[in-house]
Amino acid sequence: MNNISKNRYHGYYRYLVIITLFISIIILTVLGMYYGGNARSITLEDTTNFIVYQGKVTLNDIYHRITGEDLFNMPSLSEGEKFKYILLKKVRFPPILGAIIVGITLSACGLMLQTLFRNLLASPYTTGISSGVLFAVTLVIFISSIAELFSIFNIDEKIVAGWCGGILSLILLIIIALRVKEVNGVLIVALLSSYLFRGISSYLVANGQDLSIQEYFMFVVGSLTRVNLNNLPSLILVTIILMLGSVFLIKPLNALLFGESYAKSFGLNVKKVRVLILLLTSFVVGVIVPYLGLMAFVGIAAPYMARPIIKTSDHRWLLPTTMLLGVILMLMAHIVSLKYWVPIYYLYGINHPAQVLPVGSILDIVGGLLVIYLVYRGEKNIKMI
Amino acid sequence: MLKTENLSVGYSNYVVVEGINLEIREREILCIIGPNGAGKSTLLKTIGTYLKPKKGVVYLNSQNIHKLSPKELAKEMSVVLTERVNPGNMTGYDIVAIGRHPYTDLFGRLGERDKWIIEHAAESVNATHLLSKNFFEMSDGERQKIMIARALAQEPKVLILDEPTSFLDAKHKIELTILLRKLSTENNLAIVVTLHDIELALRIADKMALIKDNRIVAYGHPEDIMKREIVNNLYDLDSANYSEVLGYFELKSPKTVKFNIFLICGAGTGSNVMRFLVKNGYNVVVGILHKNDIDYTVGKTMELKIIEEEPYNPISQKNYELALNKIKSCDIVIYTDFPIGEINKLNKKLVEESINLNKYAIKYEGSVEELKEKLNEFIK
Repeated sequence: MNNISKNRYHGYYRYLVIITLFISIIILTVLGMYYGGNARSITLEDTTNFIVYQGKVTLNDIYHRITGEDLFNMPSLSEGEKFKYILLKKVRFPPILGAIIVGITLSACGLMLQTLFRNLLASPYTTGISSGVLFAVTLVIFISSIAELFSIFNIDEKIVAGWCGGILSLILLIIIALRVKEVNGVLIVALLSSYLFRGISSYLVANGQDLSIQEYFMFVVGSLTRVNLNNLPSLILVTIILMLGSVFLIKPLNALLFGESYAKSFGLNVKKVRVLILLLTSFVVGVIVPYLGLMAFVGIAAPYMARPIIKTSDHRWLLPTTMLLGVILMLMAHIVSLKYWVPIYYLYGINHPAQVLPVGSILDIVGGLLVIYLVYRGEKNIKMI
Repeated sequence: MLKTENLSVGYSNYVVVEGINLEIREREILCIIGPNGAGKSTLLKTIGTYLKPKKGVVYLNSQNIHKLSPKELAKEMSVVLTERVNPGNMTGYDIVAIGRHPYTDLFGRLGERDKWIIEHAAESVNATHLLSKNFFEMSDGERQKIMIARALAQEPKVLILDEPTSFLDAKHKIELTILLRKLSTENNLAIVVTLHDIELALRIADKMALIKDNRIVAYGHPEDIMKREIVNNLYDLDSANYSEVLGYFELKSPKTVKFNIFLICGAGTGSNVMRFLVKNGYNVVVGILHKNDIDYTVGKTMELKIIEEEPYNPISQKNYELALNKIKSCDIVIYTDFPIGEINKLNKKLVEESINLNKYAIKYEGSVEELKEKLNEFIK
């Protein structure tokens, strides 16, 4: 009976963690919008007002479509407010939502793959999908004839190319996954193929123009600047698909904690689940990476930090915690990249104005330090796959 | 319950064991024994459907086991594997709860019945106190218990264990042995287990299958099939012997030391002396032992030279003379504090005689340390 009361205590603790993380996300979102640009006239109050206003508009819209009546009486806006709101909506809001989406999707993918491979270094990028995407994008950036080929779709050619690269490597991955007995074989093949793709990429980079190289670099590090209102719907759709899919995968993932042999004896169709997880994660990565570039670290760091915080490996708790932590990491990295970039500009006397730091590099630095600290503090955390 | 019919197991391009016909019923434990690499695990993996059979069929309740879906199979059969699991930060309760996997809904929620079964499973392996303990804080023995509780929570009819005793100390091995017997009768389980320790296997198994050289060399009740020639042959032993009476091995004398020792003992007082002397390479002659003496069994298993007497007969004058001659040609005489009765009076006379002959006689009084010192004195 003692054990049952202890479980209940755990339950309360876990709810508390989830709620705390959720509140921090809301605060960080507001802060992110507030710090999101250079217009000083926009105050913190404006930001919160905007969020409430926008929420009301959306609700009203939905209500209007269903019943044909208005739910709220919308106050008319002054010219200044209108301008501010447009600024917030079109400039500051998309990167924040981008950060949230990346946080949710990549960290969840990272966790699933870590559990599947029983390896803490597995991340959305170790499946080889990202190298495929990166390879295709590199071709577009450096070879103009290929760029023209992909531009016929009337969308950004890099995104189209990224999708194609993603699909190709996905097909490759599924073929391997169905053939290989031991799941780590998939990991090795994916890793080695990523070296292959990198090799070709570096050949192109070595002979590239300055501007292309910068573009390539920004893509590799990853940044939120390319997100805009037009491509948000597809990103949101992917996130919803991932979240729905992950609900169905929670139980298989818990079984996979014991390794594939045991999972099979629990009545799991291991090969099916393996392919399902790889399919879902690579689909998500394949869609998101072309928009945002590689943001490798959130997929490793978020699950890693979630484990000691939620104190269980049960995916019913671990998965939501990981998603929330991923969002927090991304938002924090975004805010830091906006306001507190390191003044290399002054240190090295670069003459042209310094770029806003890509969010990926902040993430790598902050996340890297955090994880190193966690490993240093408790070796036993490493075992908590 | 579980039955293999003309089964051949192996990997993609070669067969490891062929012609396997085994059957196991409810409340029975089948033990599979064999040297490393003989194919015990391969057979177990095939029964557990991790491998496809090369030939033949495995039936579970007269259904082909390899045609059942994983979920159907999980409700009938659960396994405990040798591989060490690392499920991360989970309590014993979480681990046992995984056993309910084939029964729970999409989200793995536990109902009242599930909870009852989990607690009951833990209770039947005496692991209730482990339910709130974290898995990575448990010892190997505790982990094994929890994993077995997990297997029980699956409510199987067949339980398969691959070398469950490998990481365990003596206490836990014995506990596990008793536990398996208890489970097989109380839960009506059919248990298939591979073991390295033949002394354990002998004590828990209802049926035993010995595997060697691509085939089952013996199959049946362990008491019937565990004979010296069969077991010696099973492990290709040439420096040790298996004894049916002892249920274990004794080393043969390597004979590296030049001294001849005559040992006078009986009623089990000499077994440890024999082990000590044989281990250290002395050439030992033992006398005079009745064939029903436990010392006789130990000595015979070590293939020592024994001057033997028929059971319950008094020692004959002929054997006495034989022993005395042997003593004369020996360097050292060791005698133990053996009990003296009507039929072995002459052994006492042998001791007295050897002292009269001015032989270097050592009395063993239960301490090998003293014996060793005295032997070293003589050697100097």
